[in-house]
Amino acid sequence: MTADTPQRGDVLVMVGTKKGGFLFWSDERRREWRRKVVHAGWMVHHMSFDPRHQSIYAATNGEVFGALVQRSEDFGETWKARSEKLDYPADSPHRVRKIWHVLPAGDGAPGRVYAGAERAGLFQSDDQGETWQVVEGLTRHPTGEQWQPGNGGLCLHSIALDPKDPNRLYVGISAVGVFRSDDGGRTWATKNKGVRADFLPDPFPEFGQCVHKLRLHPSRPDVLYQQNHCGVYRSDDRGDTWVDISEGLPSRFGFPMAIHAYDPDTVYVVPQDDNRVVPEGRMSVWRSRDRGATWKPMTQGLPERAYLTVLREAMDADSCDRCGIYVGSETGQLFFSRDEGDSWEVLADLLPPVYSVSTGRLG
Amino acid sequence: MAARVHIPSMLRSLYRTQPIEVVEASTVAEMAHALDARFPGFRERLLEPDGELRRYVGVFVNGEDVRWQAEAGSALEANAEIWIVGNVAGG
Repeated sequence: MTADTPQRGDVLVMVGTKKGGFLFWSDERRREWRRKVVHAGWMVHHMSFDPRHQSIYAATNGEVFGALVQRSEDFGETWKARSEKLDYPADSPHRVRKIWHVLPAGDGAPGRVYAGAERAGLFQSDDQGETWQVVEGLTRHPTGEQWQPGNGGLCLHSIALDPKDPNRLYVGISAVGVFRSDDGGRTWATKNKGVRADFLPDPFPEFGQCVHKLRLHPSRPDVLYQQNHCGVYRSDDRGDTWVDISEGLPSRFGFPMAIHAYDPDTVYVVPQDDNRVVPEGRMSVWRSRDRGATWKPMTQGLPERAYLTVLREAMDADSCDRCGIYVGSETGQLFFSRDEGDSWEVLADLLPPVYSVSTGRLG
Repeated sequence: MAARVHIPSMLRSLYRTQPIEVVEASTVAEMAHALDARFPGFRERLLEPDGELRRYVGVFVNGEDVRWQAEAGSALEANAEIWIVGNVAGG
């Protein structure tokens, strides 16, 4: 490793944009940041750090050459781009057009990685992304042929894994809702009870909800949160029922959601109005310390007269002792807080439209 | 039979190929398989799972667009000169 690569203990911030990806890294003080451009020419919808192998996965998409997951074992210097069979079988009516999310599994499944696709589906690799297979139990769900796209397409954008039970998985699909599997992906059940779908004739259907981001905290995996098209919700029973926790927010609408690294009661959202920009042109990250019972806007250091959009994957927390929060905008700003959201600075500006922000910590 | 394949820059950087790769192939599909054997994953950048060319991938053989022929099944003559081209679309 050279000085131009991340060192042990560094914070890694991976930013996916419409025009390539960016890696930022710093020591845990987070005062001086280095950066590297990766995947020029590709849309990068998401990147994930795999602490098991100290590697980075990137979901890279192109209109011409398709969608693939690439893996780097040297912090972006080189990438492995085999990514075979990351598509539906030849006899399927569906085709993968984009990969929206990529997530390494836990310690109990070495080499396993999941990818969320558009047309909505979950793919699994057991060889670090070299070859893939579709998780057929979800694709063949009885509701599958009735799934309808959200504005961003029919995409599986959220994957959450229960670290205490490797057979339990959750996915979020727009505009279909949340599904849970308790048997490693063989069978799936809709988990949308109590979640509104105000745009449908029945506002509480079994499925058809437009989940925008689904989150789970590894230290309390029975609790789930979601930012939805129609509100912010928490589930205390692994998705069986949901409680509306939107009260106190300036808008029920938003895209991203993040959870504090160490405190599963502390969550973050970026409410946006009907025009998909922050209300009243004031960039605010809203924080709840009590699982959504009350909310406060975090504005110190964030711009006014700023008509920003923050997309679903563009917020994440780091794992430093004082948790950092990172938010990317569709107009190319990357904001960050090194004090749990109390105050903010600009980490980078003039980036392409930011699709995703995710963090890792080098072991 | 041997064919000279001009690799577009995006695939050149993705798979670290030479600007021109020489492969043994008698159809466009065989060319994709031959490149895949050398650079695993390459085939799926060109072809859909059903074996047809991706919608925006252009392949020109000796200057002729294979979409007007048999697409991926198009035959290659000896010493064919092949260009893989991403369709120009959008801004």
